[in-house]
Amino acid sequence: MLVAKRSISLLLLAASLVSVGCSAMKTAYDGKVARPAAEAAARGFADDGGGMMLGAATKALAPSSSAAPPAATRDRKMIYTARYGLLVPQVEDAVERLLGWVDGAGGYLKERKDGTVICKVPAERFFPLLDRVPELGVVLSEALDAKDVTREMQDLGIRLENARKSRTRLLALLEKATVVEDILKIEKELRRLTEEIERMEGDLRLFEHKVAFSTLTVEFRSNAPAVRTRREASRFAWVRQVGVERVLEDF
Amino acid sequence: MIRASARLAFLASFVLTVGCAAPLAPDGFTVVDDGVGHTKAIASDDSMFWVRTFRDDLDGTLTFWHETLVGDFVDHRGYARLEEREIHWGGVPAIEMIFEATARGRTRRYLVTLRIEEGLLANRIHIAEFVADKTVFDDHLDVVREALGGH
Repeated sequence: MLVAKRSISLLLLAASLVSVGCSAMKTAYDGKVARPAAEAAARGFADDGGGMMLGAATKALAPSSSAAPPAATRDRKMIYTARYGLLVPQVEDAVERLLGWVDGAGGYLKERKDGTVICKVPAERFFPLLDRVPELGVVLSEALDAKDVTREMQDLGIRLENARKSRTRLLALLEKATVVEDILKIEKELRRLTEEIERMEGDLRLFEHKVAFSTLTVEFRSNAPAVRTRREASRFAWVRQVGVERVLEDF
Repeated sequence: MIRASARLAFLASFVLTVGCAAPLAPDGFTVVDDGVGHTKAIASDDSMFWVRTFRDDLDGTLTFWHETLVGDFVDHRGYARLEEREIHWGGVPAIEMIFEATARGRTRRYLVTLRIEEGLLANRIHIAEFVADKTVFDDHLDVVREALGGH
């Protein structure tokens, strides 16, 4: 009986540790991913201690000739996010072209609002697509963010595995338990552990999706004048009251 | 006496005129404002439909106002003229024009139908306007034309 109690206590303690580890993981995930500066520097990134906002690093990550991430990052779990500001003659036409490319790359439109389009693109086709974006118009701004989540995903995987093992042991213990108090304690811990496992599985799936699909945001701005004035406005009042601009204003 | 008769006749023609110049909103549109001589309706995708009447003291012809409108839209505002055709709106000869223009950063298509109604004291200009994003313009075109009874 004493041995059984010790086993339960040890298992509960182990389960708690798994839980604490998971909480720590969440903090790292919700905030920025921390990496040694030397590691980032070795890869040519300008690490700001959080994500990597790339100025010079953009060139390192998206070389126009190779159209692929650097070799050093290939085996790592990276989350790429690119953002462009483009000046285009016709916003609609540019958006249609971009969405055609995204579709062709196996990606999809995540959000579109006014002139801003957010797309998800399979990571392996992300850089070739980025190389084509300047074809759409004049690039006003560009930024690329690269987050290395290799360690976080590995840690999460280990914690998840440990949690599953703990649950298996708790289940085995539950089979043997005869004292009502012990049964209740084990069941309570099982419930908590199951929730933690589900949460970790969800986090892992989210990581995997973010790694598999990079995010491309493009803000389009039209350089076509809304109104081209070649001659003066009509002298007739009613003519000045009709037209696209007036309908949009007066509705 | 003559003046009084003329006023009554004008009033009668005005009532008749505005009566047929305010069609029902096209299918899929919700009326946001209507009254004597005008109907304003909007669709869920922000497409807009607006019918209005203006008094014409110059007694201009359909051709005159058609050329004036096109000149203002194309030469002053920079619209691109896409299509134009002669139709009958409520049984009266009219001209339907379709333009494309950039407004508020988006490409819009604009249908405008012009009809002149002769009156005793002054003519009336009837204008039906339909503005929609280029991508959804064709989705509503048939119902808009149907609402105007154009053929």
